[in-house]
Amino acid sequence: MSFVQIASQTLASSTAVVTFSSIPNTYRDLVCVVRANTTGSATALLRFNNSTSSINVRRNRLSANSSSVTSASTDTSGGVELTYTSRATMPNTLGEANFLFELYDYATTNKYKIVLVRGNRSTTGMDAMAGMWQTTNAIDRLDFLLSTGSYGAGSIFTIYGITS
Amino acid sequence: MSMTFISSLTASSVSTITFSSIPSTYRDLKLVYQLRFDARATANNLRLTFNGSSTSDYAWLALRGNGSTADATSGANSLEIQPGFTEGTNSTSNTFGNTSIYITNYNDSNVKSVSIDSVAETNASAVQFTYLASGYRNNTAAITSLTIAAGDSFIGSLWLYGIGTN
Repeated sequence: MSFVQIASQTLASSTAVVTFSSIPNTYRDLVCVVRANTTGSATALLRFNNSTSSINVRRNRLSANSSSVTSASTDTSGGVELTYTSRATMPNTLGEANFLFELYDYATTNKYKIVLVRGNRSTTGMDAMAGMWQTTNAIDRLDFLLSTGSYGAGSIFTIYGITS
Repeated sequence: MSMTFISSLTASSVSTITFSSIPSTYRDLKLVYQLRFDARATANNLRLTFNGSSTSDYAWLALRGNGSTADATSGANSLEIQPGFTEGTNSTSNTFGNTSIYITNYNDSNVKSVSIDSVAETNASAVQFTYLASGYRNNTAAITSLTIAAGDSFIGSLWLYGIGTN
């Protein structure tokens, strides 16, 4: 197995949407690492191929805060929600949280696409989530968005390719 | 190649083990270990600290299952991050607690957060834990050393990898 850094973006200033386009199809899986913040309170979203279709994402989560565990599923549109209210939310302080994603067989054209999400924010909660994009299209673009506001300067988004 | 082996350590009946002088050339770190207590009967938590510092600026939060129930546990203003259980001498022979710890942006001047996956599985009902956790240190110093410690001695192996480039 090899683990190759495809691209990385460090924001020089506040940015509403972080885009990775023309992702090569030469890897088996993708791993994304996000260490970001925002000035307000917002839900983070991951959008595939810039598709805003309302039919194509669902999120199932297992979450914990300091004392309890919950599980639920939610249909969303326009992207997979990467954060959950009152659990591993996007912090105001850079470095207080990190978010790791795994996308399996992202370049195939015969499978719906699954993303596994880990949100880690020890001061509020953690999430283990799964999202599905219900299309067989190969993924060649990822957009990281927020429900409101912007990612802060210094936020880092990195994509790795995994080969077998 | 963006995932690079940095070094490994062998724990031989020690209660503290440290990766020191970690190079600053990577973006993230991944620490993987298999450990087991050699002088303690029952499984117990380990402790993770950075830069040899056990000040009360750590926090951790875990979602765990023991084969029958799931719960959450956490520590705030803690002296360490608790990265999961490992086996004791009462556990099935040759079983070790397995843990993977991902540390993002260890080398910059922001506070630090980590992602932890850990399992203590012994094919016995007495001790089995699946443990998903987040860890945090409210300190902006770059991480140059990582220490795993416990109140009792342990044995096993640890591996450290660098991921990505700055």
